[in-house]
Amino acid sequence: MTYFLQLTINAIALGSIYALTAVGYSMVYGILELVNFAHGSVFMLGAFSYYIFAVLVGLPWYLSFLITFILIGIVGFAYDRLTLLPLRRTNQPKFTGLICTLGVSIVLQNLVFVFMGSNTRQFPTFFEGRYLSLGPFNISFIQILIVCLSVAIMVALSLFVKKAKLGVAMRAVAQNSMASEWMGINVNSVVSLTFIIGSVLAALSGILSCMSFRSLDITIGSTIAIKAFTATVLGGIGNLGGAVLGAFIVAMAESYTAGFISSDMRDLSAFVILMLVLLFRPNGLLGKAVQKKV
Amino acid sequence: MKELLTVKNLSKSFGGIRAVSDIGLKVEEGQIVSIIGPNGAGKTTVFNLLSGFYSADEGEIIFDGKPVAGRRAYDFAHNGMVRTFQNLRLFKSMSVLENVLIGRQHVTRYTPLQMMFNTPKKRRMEQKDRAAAAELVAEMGMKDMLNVRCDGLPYGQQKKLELVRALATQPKLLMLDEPAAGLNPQESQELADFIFSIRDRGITILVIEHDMSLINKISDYIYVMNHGELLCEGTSDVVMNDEQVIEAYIGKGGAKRVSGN
Amino acid sequence: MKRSIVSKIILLFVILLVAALPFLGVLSQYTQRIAIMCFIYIILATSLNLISGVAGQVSMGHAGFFAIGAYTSAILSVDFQMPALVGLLCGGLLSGLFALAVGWPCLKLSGGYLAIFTLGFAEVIRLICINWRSLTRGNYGLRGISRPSFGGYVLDTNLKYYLYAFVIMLICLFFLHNLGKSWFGRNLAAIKDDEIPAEAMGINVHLSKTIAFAISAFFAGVAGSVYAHFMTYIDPSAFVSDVSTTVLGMVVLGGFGSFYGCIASASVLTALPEMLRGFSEYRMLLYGFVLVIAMLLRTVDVKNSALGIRLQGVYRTVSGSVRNFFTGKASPKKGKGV
Repeated sequence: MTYFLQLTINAIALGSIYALTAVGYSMVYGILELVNFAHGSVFMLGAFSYYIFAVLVGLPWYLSFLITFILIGIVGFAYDRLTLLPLRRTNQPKFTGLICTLGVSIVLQNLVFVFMGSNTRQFPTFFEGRYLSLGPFNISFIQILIVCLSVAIMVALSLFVKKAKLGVAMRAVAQNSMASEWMGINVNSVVSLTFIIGSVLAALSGILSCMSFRSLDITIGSTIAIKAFTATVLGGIGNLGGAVLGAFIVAMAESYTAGFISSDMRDLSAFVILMLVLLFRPNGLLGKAVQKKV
Repeated sequence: MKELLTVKNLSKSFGGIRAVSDIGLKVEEGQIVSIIGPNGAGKTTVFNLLSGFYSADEGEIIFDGKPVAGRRAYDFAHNGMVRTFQNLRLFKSMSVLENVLIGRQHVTRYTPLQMMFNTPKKRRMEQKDRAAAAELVAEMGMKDMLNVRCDGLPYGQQKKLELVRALATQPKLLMLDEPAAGLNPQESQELADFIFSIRDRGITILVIEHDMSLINKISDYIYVMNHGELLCEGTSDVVMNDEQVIEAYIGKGGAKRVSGN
Repeated sequence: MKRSIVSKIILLFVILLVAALPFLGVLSQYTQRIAIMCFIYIILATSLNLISGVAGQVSMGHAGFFAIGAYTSAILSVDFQMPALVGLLCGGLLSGLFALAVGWPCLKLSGGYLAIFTLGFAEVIRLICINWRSLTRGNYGLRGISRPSFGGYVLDTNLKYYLYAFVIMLICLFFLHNLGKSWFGRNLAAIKDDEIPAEAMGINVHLSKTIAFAISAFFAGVAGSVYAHFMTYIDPSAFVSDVSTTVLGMVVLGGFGSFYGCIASASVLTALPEMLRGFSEYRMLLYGFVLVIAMLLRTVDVKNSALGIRLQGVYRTVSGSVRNFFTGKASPKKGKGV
């Protein structure tokens, strides 16, 4: 029982990381109906960027974070403007966007590979592995930080999306981009903003994930991609709250699989969940079945 | 004449909105029947229900003696109920001939084995298929455009192609969704003649339209819809002079205005 | 009519030439090896082309089906002493069955789902290959896969395997080509163009997609078997997602739907990296760029923009001279659009 609860505690921290990734992913999917393959690569890129500035250059953590976010924001913006916007402008079929994001993801991944190699590195963290002991349970300080940070960001995001003008604009464009355009919303700017926010979230969760596991390598991007997608689909497309819920479910499944079955199988659990969702509830837990208009 | 299509109590809601409510209609073989009504009346929704793209919440659809409600869209086409699209849905990357060939796809079917081995029989059937498609295109006066990519065609020809493609499926009932939209009066007249020629081939026709002169010219029977419900039905004299119909189009008091006070 | 007979003769000539190449002493052992890999990738590319290029359903899982075919054939050979051709058929069939199971629910949903799901599927297959050690020998790899033998005659040299692989490839291409040039291929093209009118014209879109997916997986499995019996050793590292990406890149470069285009791009993209060994680090990076640029090229307004007109001019000159070469006739003036 204590083992189960310990696993659950780990899952909560893991889920917080996944939630940040999944929300960024869901935002982009909701606004463009596009599977953004590059999301995982940005996750990895963010972690590497922090590593380069914090470890290789030796900057303090707050500067490393700042520079990383700025860089990633630029990457996200450029990604949308240079590659996806032209496709949208010329009304290309859906698969072109898919292949494009795939291409970008491969470029980003391999840029990192070419410059940094494929070896695993140790990642800096806060609190140097210190943890809190609550009876039989151990909660590391970094886990607490991650959960608090995630909650704060989630709250800020949901306020933004509900109250702030830009946030409401994002929701409007996600629902009906043509009508939004007619209402005077600059759809392309909103889309770019969504990409920037999504990318920064991905980068942040990448950094936090590496801090949590204390290691960094180029494969982390591809593993997170499936989990983020699963969480998004599980929660219901375009439903940000659902993405968070999905993220925690995925994290729990992974944690229990690693704990009770085998650590090698942990990545499989997300795939199994994805399979089940697609088979039985493709609209997700919180999504509504939408009748396609003909 | 045999009743080809019978619709009873057809209803469909989206969320809380009743898009179509308790619609009933009959189409006899060889007739040209029209559905008219202001925008948003639910006419295209009815078409979507009658072609399998929406599934009805309630009601029966009986075609050629068989109940077909709840079937998938491709089943409707197989049974002989084929529709065109209001906003044109041609296969943009394909030529005129290729579009028409898709229409014929369930007419010409060699077996997978014949397909895989490219047997002489398959090659003969392919040739016949192409010849028949080309003939249909020529009959419709589009011979010169056989291999032109259809998104390079002028709008009027694209509308025609949409119709020709539907014809190629050899339907029993052809459902045309606003075939006259965007056509000038002369093209509209040609369309009327065209529709008559289709009827002469033995095909029954159901039309949604706004063009009143076209409706009056071609319709054997008219159904009027408004707010998802049937407002009125009858021949064109009956319908055109019905007060409620006039009000639906022009507004309250319109009947008085139309009849010249 | 004349043109089709000429092109058929040329095709026959090319086939005979390629078949004869090793006997002409033109190919070293190393080049023969590259050629065999080309044949394998041609099968992979043309099969992926059916579901992704023609039908427009992007699949990122071809490596998974490649792996299933390879491991099935390998295990049948090593553990059950089954002949290579039996392994080939079983590998293909098993891949096809997996594709049916995976494709049926996935293809009901929009394109992105298939892409991600197949990506995950291929990774899961690879993980299974690593972890189900009793079946696959895990990371250690499966050794001792037999070269095919026909009544005691073993294909123990590269030259002999070259011919075997070439014949298998020709058979696969034969079927894939015929499937494409049929009502089935046309229906798939309609589905790629616009699913709604495709369904309205009586095409069972979901079933068509699923069958195309299963067929493409079948041939990927066949390619896997050819690979396994050539290498006589396989391990999970040969089936990473880079392979799926590479094959997709071949389909995209080949024109995303063009049968012959895929054959060309698969040959070039297999042979080139071999010759440019020094750049192997940058290979995948280049692929990524190729994918993005290929998509962005579509946005070039071919009719109106300056770049488009220049590209058009180049294309017309090249295709004109090719046509002249084959028919001896001057190319017909391209008439203005109607």
